[in-house]
Amino acid sequence: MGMLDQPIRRSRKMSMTPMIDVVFLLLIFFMLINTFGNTQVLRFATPAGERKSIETDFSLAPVYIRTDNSIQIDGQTYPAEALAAEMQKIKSRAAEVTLMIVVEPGAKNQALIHVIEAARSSGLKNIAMKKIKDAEAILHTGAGEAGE
Amino acid sequence: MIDFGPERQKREYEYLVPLINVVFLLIIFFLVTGTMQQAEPVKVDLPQGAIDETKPAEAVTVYLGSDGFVYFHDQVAEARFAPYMLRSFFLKEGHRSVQIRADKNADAEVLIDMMEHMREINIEEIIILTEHAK
Repeated sequence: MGMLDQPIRRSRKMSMTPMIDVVFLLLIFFMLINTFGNTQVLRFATPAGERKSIETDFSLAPVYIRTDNSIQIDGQTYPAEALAAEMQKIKSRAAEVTLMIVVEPGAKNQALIHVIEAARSSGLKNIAMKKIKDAEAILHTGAGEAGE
Repeated sequence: MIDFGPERQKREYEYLVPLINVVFLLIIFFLVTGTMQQAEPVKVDLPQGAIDETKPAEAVTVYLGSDGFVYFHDQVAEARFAPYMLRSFFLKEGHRSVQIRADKNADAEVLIDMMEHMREINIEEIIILTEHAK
């Protein structure tokens, strides 16, 4: 009986252990859930309908990405690092140059990104991307379609 | 012998204070530097790149896995059927911007097809995500 009457004795200082537990849990939570921003973006504007004026000094330059992911311009294979320099030359061919990236079946995205980035860094604004069977029809008729 | 006087009485828990300080700093660091991201419906290995353009304010994300399947919200479709899957959502919601997380080992033809179809459903901007080359 006597024991129940006595007030519960608490230590004056609160224990810090539960707080530290919670803080560590929060720390682990944020460490696991976070992704650090190493993603980059490449933006494309889809082409708007018909164009009113057509540049007369116009050139369509095909770049081929072969099944083995090799990149060819005018029949010559280029490594990814040398592409930008080659595209500078293409750019100077005409007042308006459209780069047509022609992709063979089996070519992978990484190769496509290499070509797009090379075009961007050399200042080529118009990029068209086509599958080889669609591209051949365009190239043979000589009618280009801008893609950006 | 130099007499330094009586040893200072240490308060209880005093030794824990620096630890808590550091842990709080770490929490704040992770809170500030990290970005929350939705769980990915498929593991995507992004292609490596060097160019980073300004990030768009908001865009709907579509995933293209290395298996050639397109993942969108909780739906999965073979690439050639993906436009049908996306069409109703985009036309209803009126989105004008799409970002594609395409695996670097996915076929480029599939990505080109997807971009072509995006254009048909009035998407004005397509964003391809890459990873900073190490």
